[in-house]
Amino acid sequence: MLKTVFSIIILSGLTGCSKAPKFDQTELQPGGNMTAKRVSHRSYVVEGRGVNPQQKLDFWTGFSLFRDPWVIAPSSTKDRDGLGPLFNTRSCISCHSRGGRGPAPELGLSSPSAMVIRLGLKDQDSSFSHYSKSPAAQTYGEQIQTRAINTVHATQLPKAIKPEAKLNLAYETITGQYDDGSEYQLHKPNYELRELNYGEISQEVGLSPRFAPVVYGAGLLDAIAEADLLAQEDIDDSDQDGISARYNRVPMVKKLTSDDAYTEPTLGIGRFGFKAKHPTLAQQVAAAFRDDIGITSSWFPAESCGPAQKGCAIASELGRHTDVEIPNKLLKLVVDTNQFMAVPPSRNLLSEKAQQGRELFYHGGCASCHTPSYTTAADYPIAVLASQKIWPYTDLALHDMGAGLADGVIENDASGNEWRTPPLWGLGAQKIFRKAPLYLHDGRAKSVAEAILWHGGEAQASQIFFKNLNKSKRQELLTFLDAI
Amino acid sequence: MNKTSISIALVLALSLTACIDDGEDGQQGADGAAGADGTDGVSVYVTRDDVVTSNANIAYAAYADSLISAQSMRDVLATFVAEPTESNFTAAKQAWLDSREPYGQTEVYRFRVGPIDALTTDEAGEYVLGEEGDGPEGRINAWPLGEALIDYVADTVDGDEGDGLSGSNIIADTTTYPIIDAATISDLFEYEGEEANVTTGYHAIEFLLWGQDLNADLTGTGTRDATAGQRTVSDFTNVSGECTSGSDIVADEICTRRGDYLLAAADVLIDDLTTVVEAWEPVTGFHYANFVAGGDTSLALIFEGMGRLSYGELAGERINIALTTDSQEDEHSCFSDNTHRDIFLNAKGVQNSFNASYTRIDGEVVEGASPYDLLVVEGEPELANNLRAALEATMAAATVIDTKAETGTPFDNLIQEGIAQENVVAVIQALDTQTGYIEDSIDALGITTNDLYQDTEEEF
Repeated sequence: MLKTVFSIIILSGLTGCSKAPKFDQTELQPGGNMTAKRVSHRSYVVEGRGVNPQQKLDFWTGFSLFRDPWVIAPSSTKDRDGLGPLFNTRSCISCHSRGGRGPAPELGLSSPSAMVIRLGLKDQDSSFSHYSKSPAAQTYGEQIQTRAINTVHATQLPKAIKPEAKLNLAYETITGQYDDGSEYQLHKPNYELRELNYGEISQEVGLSPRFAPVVYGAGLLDAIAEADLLAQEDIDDSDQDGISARYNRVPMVKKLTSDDAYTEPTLGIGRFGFKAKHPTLAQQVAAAFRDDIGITSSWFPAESCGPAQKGCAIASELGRHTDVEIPNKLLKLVVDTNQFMAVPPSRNLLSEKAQQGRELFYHGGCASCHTPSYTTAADYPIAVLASQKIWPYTDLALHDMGAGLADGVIENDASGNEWRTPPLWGLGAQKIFRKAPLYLHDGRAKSVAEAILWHGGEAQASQIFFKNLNKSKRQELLTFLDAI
Repeated sequence: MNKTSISIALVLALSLTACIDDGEDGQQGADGAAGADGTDGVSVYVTRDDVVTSNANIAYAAYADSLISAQSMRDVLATFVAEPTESNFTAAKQAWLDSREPYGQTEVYRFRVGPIDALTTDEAGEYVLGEEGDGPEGRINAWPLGEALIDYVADTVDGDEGDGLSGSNIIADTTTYPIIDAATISDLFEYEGEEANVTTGYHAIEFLLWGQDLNADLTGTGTRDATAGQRTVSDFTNVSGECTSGSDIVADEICTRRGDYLLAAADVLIDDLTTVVEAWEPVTGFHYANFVAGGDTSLALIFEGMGRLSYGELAGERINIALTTDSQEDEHSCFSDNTHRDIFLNAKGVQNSFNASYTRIDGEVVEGASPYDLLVVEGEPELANNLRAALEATMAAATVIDTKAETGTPFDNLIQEGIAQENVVAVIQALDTQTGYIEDSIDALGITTNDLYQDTEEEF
């Protein structure tokens, strides 16, 4: 009998909604070895319980570089200079507050830090074969930097360079109803760039807003075996469950956890970023340094100055760095901080309410994309991250999330409707030290319920399932999501 | 029901309010069967609330000492600015060093969302604890300092070329900043949203007194020597025509403005320390009252602060980063070469917390119920002893760093590449060991509000 039930679960698991599997004690420690010893009341910034003394020391040493602001070069703090010339923010922690998400972007006109606008070609037919061919790419590059350093030089740079643009943000309130008649409100954002200092942006180019994601647990996502991800790929929805997991194939700069660069262009499976732009954690960290803070590294040695932004290049040269701005030794420490930052232990997961919510999570088909569990690759080069039974609730794949969430912008193989499934672990812990946590890729949702209600496209059936639940059932599901 | 089961029942019944044991091992304190001297390894009876209260009392004493010594320093600085003689200059520097002694021991009260990290005012202007980062800590003790924003800097520091943009700084810019007072420098703290623009606090005063650490030959190049910054008293002179900015003769008003800055920085420091002292004031301070009433939550914060300072902050961000980068800018008190005291005093603060003992600047010893006693009372004498020994080992290792510095090898020399670093590594290792026992103590006392396997019904 037991065997029968088990095989039913497997079968129905592939077709969307299913019964929840038997509770596994390892769910209490969703990060395995990399789970925090306890729930902190102040920060996600704590090392996983299994790290060795050297890793622990590296974690905290790197945190110094994660936390401290970078300054304009040249300066008397050479290890911490090289900011910009164009940048969004000065430190990692200013956007990843306490290792979580950042401060909310302001309404109206502002230069946000934790919210960046990336640029790319829109989905529809374009006169350009690739974004890099468009005029916007010649100036703005792939990301709008809302700040610029104020370096001037009597002859070479008489006037300081200008930030690229400001963001004008507005929300429109949408009112809807659950099937039981109770009302909800959603906040639909509208993004507009103003004060474009390097020319207008053509119609073919779209804006893709990104609100800084959580950092913890990233080392474990890096350690999931590629085969375990690809086994979930179902590009043409051949199993006809309405869900077509697809992995973004993206340029891979260096080999996994090594400093050896690929000599030939090589593609990897995208795992990090809201559209899975980066295949490895180290590449993601290096890209954030360059794109957000303006710190070059051996991964991305060129500043984020567009070919047409001459002043930006001059300002960079005035910084007098003869080599990249963050050396490999220090970049590795920051990667260590990201890699070893612990996943919070589950909270109240054994409560009856959470357990009932767990049933609903599986029954509602949430687990079809939010893949609950993996065992990380046994051969991952960092032992503490290898062979760990983890519960991240993501397939790291791209899914069409419907028009409501779409940015309409292509990123490598990702279409304008597609987003990468984000991990859900630690989701509820945000409430412990954030008065007003925000959810989704652009932080538009003020609650987990709002985030679910925004789900469309491949996730439409699950959204309908949620809307159909009565209040106490909805609360059970939310309790589970707060607990994992 | 036999006696044992009665006492178990009692323990269970009372464990939520206070920890009461079977009455034979210290419940009556010094009068009990075990006595005051720790017979059979049993310490004086204490409760969890006692430990929390003692910790709060020491917080007040240590912050009060910091305030008292900051005020004393302000007086000495005022005398120096009025009469900038060589001996008054020496006295001013000594007053700064003295002021660091109590403050370094307060840092164990960081990383626990206490007043130093989170004190702010609400919309009604009342003091409240906000989020970490809202408090005055940055204004009081932030480093690296934005020294180039404050005063002249050398073109070459520690072998690296400086910014080459010197000339524009608060002291030199008489047009933008006609007056230098507490408001001027407070407004410029984190100027233009740049967190690195630190213009206030202990290290601003330190920089104005010592100047950059450029070696004895003032070239800022070559192997670091044992000298600290060598600002000359002529940078503060009131003799017309003799005012200097380093080797340059400058307008008289620059020296006056440098003195103004010094006193303004002391004033801001005193104001900020005052708010923290008032928050911890026994009985009346809002935080004192809340903390003392906080039970296990407060007890957890004590251990969390001890652990976080020991490892993340001291071993990692204060010692190892300096070792890794071999950079003076990653050294805590880089102008005065007083980093050895910062290390020693931070470690001492952790030991103070564990032993519930703090020696005030006037020599009075503030003592109370200690986490050590508590661990013994709660049946963890071995753990108590291990942590005691680990803290002692750390202090021994930190004393070596301290002694090296006092005898001619300051911390910035110890971290240089190619120089034996085992003394520094020893401190890091000792801090690692003690942090392990601190973690064990948290587990042993069961003071995690939400442990791995403890699934409480507490709503998050």
